Amino acid sequence: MNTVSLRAWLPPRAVLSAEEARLYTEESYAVWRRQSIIGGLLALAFNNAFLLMDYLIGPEVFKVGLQVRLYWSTSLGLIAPMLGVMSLKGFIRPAPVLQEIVVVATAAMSGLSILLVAALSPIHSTYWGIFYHVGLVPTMVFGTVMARLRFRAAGMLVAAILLMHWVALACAPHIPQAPVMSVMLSVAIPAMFMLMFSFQFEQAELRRFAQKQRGKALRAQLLARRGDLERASFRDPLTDVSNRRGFSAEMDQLLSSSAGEPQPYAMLLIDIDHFKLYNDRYGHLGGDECLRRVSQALAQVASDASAVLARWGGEEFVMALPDADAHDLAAFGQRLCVAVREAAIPHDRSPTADIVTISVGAVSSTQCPAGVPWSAVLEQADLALYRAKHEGRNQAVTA
Amino acid sequence: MRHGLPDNLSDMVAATLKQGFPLLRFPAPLEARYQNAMSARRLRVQAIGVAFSLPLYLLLFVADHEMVPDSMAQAFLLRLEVFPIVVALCGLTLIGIKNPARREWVFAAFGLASCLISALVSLSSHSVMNTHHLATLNPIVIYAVLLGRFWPMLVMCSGVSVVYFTSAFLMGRLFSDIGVGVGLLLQANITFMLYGCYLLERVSRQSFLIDEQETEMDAELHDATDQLARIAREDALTGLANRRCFTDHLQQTHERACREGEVLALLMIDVDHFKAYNDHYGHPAGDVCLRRVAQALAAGTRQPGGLVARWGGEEFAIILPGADAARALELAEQLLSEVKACAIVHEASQVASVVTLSIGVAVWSPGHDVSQAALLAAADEALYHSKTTGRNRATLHELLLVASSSCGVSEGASQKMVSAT
Repeated sequence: MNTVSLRAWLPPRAVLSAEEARLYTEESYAVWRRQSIIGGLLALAFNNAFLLMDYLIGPEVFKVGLQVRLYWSTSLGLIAPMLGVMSLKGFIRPAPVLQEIVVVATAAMSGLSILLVAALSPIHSTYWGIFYHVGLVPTMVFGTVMARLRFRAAGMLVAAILLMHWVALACAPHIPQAPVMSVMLSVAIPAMFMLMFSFQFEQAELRRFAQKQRGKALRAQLLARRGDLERASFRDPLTDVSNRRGFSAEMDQLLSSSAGEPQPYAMLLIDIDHFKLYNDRYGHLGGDECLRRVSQALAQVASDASAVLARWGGEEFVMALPDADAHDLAAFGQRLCVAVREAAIPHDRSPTADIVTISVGAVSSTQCPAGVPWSAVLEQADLALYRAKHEGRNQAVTA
Repeated sequence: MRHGLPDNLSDMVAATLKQGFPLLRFPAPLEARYQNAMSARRLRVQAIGVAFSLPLYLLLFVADHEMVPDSMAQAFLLRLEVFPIVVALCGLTLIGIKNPARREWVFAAFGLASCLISALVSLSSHSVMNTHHLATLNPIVIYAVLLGRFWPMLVMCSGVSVVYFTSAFLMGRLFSDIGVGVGLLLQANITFMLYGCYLLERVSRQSFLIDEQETEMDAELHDATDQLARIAREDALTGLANRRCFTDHLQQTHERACREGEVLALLMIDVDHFKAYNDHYGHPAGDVCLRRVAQALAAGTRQPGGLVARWGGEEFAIILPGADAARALELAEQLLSEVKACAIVHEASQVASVVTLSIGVAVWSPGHDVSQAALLAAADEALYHSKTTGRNRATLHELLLVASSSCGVSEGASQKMVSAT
């Protein structure tokens, strides 16, 4: 953002990347179009209000003022707000540069109309003819502040108006008591202020834009990081199923989603048979691969039954099966055993079989006292697993 | 932990950004933050504005001279004596006031005073151009609104309008050509400038809110990154380093030991009959047991550069840079007794009535061309030896002590084991 500061006199594409410059231009012009309609109409109203002054100065001035201010300046001045309305309604899509040109031209023309009234009416030979130039100030203020021209465009408008102002002064007849110096200062000093405002405003807009861009990037980064964090905290990196923490979170969700009547669920504790021997035979890397394949087999069955699967630690997995009564449970446990056997992972040291097998302990929450926490149901499942191990492994035992 | 905004404020920032703030005012706590954040910058702008007003004000002598030459005496008095006093007073007040919002009003009062003084110059004249001279209010108003904040400036502009209309009325020319002309001029400038002032303040306020949000997001991002790094290196159950962290640390330590010619000891530790413990006391109790063992190991290994890690399951590993065989065995024995001293009852153990450990020690000394994997394997072998010779003991793998520059443990190599119980 520091690179943006003090660069407002450069076109946006010099400060921002091409894509950002395009976005910035688009965004600021969308706002600008809406505001230019009201701003333009307000400026025209003021422009014509000065007719009252012309009228008070004299009928001759009023006649010229009417022609220049009302007929000429107002009808041309309506072009900018009309373009604004049309582009808002989507009839045209004028290029930003074109819009800028229209506003600069309209404001410069409005300035010219003031000088024309002074030059064409009888006041040109009185001090009024000079004093009339002070009317250029609101024109500049309109262009830079109301119409919110870009700093460069505002600079061009101010320069154009100052130039016309000085040329008109040079051409004006010499009037002894005319406050020439005062008028020159009261145009030049606000002109300087206008450039200051425009610069300040463009800087602020650029800064806000850069901030918004940064915000977008930050938000995306944060979202990604939150995802990483959740994965890291709730997933087991080896098998990519939930870890204990993830399982706890999922259980909380599962149990809280069934408001009112507690839904029955089952807890299954799964242990790979003779995994120690597998590790000794095939090494740690082989063991890791075995865990991955077993978890894949279990995950397949779990997702079919919309059950929650997690690695409980070591070679143990845990599963929560919603809406399960005791009858289904034995069959489901068997399905898990079958799924792992079908994975056919060779295990030539296993006393149970020549492939990797699992033992499963399964308990339904209906078999436990009502209202016990899931960890208590899990303890019962642990007892069932113990029995499965003792009754020869490679089987599912329900409580 | 870094902290961003308090939760309620960060919600308020989001809500305010979403709803917008057409009245240029935030909810109270946010408004206070905004004013404070802007305070220094605003004071600088105001101070510079007030200081620069002095030379700019003197330029108005040109207008005095050309339009109200009969009032030059009053002009000198008002512009050279009264105005500098107002500037000084205003400057001091700005510096003295701590509340940034109140300073904006002082600045507005200063703008109004400047206009009033200039109007007094006009009023003191009987020149035909005394009403023309009131146009000097224009640059003053434009200058003030350029630097001020919307609400104080709106009030100031109303005040200036009153000053103008009163002055023109007193001159008897309020409804004359010039009275209407200068009045319209002033109103046009005021309207346009106030609009700009409003936009400028709105952008500034939006920027502030976005900044607040981004600071918050930055903090959260840092937190998440830290947490992620911790999770990646930490074992969730025991809080010790995990295996990945251990492997990284071993590599670094090993490389440093090679460079600096230091010894390095590696301990592999296994909780005896942990499976039986788990089966007997249940998993939750097993977790508690592992945590207590981990605590004891961490407490017993307070050494610079040393690292205790959970290797997996009921296995732990320790790196001890700078420890030779004697020192490593000594520490291993110490750990054995400390864990025993924890007195974690273990009825299912065949070794003792409390939880005990088996430890394998491998020592690397400079000149041994041994890989980290071989070092780990040696420690593992020593651990195996401990377990097969009755558990609750530490074994030192001596191969690496005697091997000259062979590459690690080859299968079938004769091993000398030194056990300590």
